[in-house]
Amino acid sequence: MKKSFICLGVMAGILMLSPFPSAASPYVKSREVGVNSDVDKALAADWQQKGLLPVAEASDSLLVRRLYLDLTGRLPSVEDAKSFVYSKDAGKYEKLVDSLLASRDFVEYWGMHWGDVLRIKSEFPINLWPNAVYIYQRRVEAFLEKNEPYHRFVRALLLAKGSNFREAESNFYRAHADRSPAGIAKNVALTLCGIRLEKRSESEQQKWARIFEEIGFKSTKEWKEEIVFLKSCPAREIILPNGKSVKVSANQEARRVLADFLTRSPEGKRILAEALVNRTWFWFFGSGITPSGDDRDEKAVNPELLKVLTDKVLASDFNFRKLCREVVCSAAYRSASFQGDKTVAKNAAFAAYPIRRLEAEVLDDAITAMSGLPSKYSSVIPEPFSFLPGNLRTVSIADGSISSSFLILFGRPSRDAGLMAERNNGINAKQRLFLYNSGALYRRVCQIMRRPEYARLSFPAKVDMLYWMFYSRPPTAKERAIIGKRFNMRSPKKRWTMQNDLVWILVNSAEFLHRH
Amino acid sequence: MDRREFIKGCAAVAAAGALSGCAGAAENKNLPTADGNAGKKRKCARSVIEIWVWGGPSQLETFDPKPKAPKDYNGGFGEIKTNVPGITISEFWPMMAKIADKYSIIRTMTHPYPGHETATYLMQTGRKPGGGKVYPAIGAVIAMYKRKEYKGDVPPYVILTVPKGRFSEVGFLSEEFSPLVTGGNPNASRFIVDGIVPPGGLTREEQKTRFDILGELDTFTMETPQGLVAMRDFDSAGRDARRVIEGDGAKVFDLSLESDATRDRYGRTTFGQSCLTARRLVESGVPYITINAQGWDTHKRHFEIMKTKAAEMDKALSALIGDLSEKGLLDSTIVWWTGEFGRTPRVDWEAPWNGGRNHYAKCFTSLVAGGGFAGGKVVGVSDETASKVVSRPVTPQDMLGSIYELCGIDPDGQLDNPIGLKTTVLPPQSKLGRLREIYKENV
Repeated sequence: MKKSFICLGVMAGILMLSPFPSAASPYVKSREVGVNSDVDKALAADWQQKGLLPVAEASDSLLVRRLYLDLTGRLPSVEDAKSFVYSKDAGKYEKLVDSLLASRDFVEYWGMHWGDVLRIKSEFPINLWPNAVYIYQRRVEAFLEKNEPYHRFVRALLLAKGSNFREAESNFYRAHADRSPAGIAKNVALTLCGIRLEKRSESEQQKWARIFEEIGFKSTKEWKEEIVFLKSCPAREIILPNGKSVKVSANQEARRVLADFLTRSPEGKRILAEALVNRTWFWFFGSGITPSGDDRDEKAVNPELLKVLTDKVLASDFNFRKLCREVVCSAAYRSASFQGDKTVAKNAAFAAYPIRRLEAEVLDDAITAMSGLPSKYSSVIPEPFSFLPGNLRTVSIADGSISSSFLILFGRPSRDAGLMAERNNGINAKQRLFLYNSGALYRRVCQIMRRPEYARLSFPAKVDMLYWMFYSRPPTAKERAIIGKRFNMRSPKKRWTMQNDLVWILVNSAEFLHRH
Repeated sequence: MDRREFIKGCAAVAAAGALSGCAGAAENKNLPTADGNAGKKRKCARSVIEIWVWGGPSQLETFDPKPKAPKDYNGGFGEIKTNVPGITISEFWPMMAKIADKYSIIRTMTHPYPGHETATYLMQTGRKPGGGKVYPAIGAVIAMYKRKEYKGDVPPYVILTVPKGRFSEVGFLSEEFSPLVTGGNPNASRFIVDGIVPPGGLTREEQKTRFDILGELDTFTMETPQGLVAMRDFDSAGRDARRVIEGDGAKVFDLSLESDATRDRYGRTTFGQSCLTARRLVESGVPYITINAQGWDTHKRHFEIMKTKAAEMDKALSALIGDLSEKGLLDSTIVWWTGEFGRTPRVDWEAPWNGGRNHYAKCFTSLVAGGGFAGGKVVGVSDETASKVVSRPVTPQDMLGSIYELCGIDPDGQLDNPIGLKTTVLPPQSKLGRLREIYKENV
């Protein structure tokens, strides 16, 4: 495999089709990413078959920005970015990956992803209620913090019962807009298996629904408390995610049969692992190995890749952090987004790290981190109102019902259906209008210039600092020259406006607004 | 004539989805029609102004007064005669009383949900909550179907000045049809529309310089290969946004272009100047404008609040309807005034309410004017305390269905959507409830 890869590289050189942009590019290294892991091999074989050239590695500035954004939802601070970029340590990449995976920021950011698919929100149409939201979100964070094997976490959810305020997992059965057995079945099949029940036959849908006929809800004397309990149900025929029907007797828990299958049988564990792999890949690459990221009936872009990663998940006993590490250490992940021709095909085959707009929450947090001026969030339910503390990151807001017009504008998911597609990272004119001219945004952004460590710098040093803040890199010589020229064009009295303009330009630049 | 024929009566512009098409506004009457027989075609409403009386206005202190009811119901307040014989409205609305021939009152709106969120969702989408899908509000649906007809730079759905919040207006439709929420205050010396008017008093020239430098410094885009969808969308969204800022789009929000007399006529209040802005948006063809009027959730001190709120709204609303009419725009513009529900007819005099009214959805009042609705009519009869519908109940679906119909959108047609959902604009229902009796043209 490695040999053929080198051959391709040599051929590219001969044909003068070098994929590497000029040496001065701040984005790309003048070397390929090596093929090392099984994941890389599965990808390289697919690229070769599709006639795609090997990829150049992204520059260290891009890599450090990517790792921070994807693993923690933060931009690296100026210091963090510089220390990575200027480090000569050959193992610095892996070391950074490990330290970020072990950080609290990882737990918060990935808690947001899992909160999206588990539909954690207090109000309409999910109606978990705030106390239940917080205990449920803390449970999800505990799964991430302790790196609990994913199948054990799933088992705890499936077998949950009790009070929504006291037994966190019981909310797994409450977080549905439609709490009928059919409604629960639809969501459980989607969330755990990537099965879209609405695409399956009527009889399959009914047999799935029968699993959850035993789930009952009752209220207590405590306001908004709800108990999830097991009702007695007659003997019935249910279906398992592999499509096989099973008879369940009257005194048997049908959901336990499902849980045993998914978390204890080799066949079920594979289905669970595939769904996990697909979704995780989607979170890192913006599209799944089966493109929607949560539909196992779709054709896989690279079936071998899905198999390799699933095998690894099974071998690691559902170690989620290890799966994340496997993905971010792959050659595909470390490749540049700037790939000359065929970039579109390369994106489709995961041969280039895809360019995507920052998520609503991440964008808001980035502005807060740079300016020191947080967005304010509050909840009017229940009275008395709650006001979230300013040092809380937006990504860590547990409750999907707590929002802002900024978050809505930038496509934060509604958490109504739990589909990956609910998050909208597209860009539209209203968003760009906001970024160009929002008074509220510029009140925050202009605080950057009042930061003491910034204010005392000379103008060229300020430019450097802003570039590190927004882009995790220094300005290029050409950029410095343009800024210098524009600065000198202004009358001395007007020169101070240049930094306002520069901050506005950086906020509105594609380089800041995207992962790349 | 049944509904299908009625809808067909609107000259077809496009046959996609629920868009039945229509001859459009007066200046569009030369649009091609299905059978080339434009002359006989009905004109459809071109724009809708929704006045969302947020929190739920009391039916008794607005357009369904009950002067003969006990004081525990009417608070001791009475009615006022209008310029239409036989129609009286609450005494809080003297200016609206002078133009009752221009609007119609629906006194028997009814639905089962007295909670703000659920009632708002129902009144805006015509759907009961639940089922895992969030449906788009009427504004987003109309914006979508009118997008081809409307060529302006300002987005087709504008909200003045604050969003309803905790409610996704666009639902599962494309983000393109989500509202532009203006922010700012139209009654301030300068109406700073968030995103359109640059903050900090930047001149046009200074703003242009910024765009120029942004272009020069855009190393990232220069190195990005052509053809990437993400970057293409980013650039085209940027161009669209810039056109709104630099083109005539921004002028629509510049109220200094109106005379002092006109501005005074609407009242120098946020709501009044919002109404004036709405009229300017209608003139430039924006299909759907919502004004979210705040402060009507009067659980406490209801009557004191009504004295000021109603006076402010009386002036602005009568100015809006009158001005649209004088400018010849009322025939092509629907003005829809409603809350998510009304208020409890029996006053709560006890502390801490001290003369308050709570939420009440069983019987409440809405008002419509223009765009194919006749004026000077009353729909429905409520009982002697405005607590129950006596005759002619009107559901939120009836109301929405009528507005859709008059806009040339078939409420029973397929709702086009990007998620491939097979669904109709409104849930299938009896068509009998629509407000045919107050359509201008006999149907």
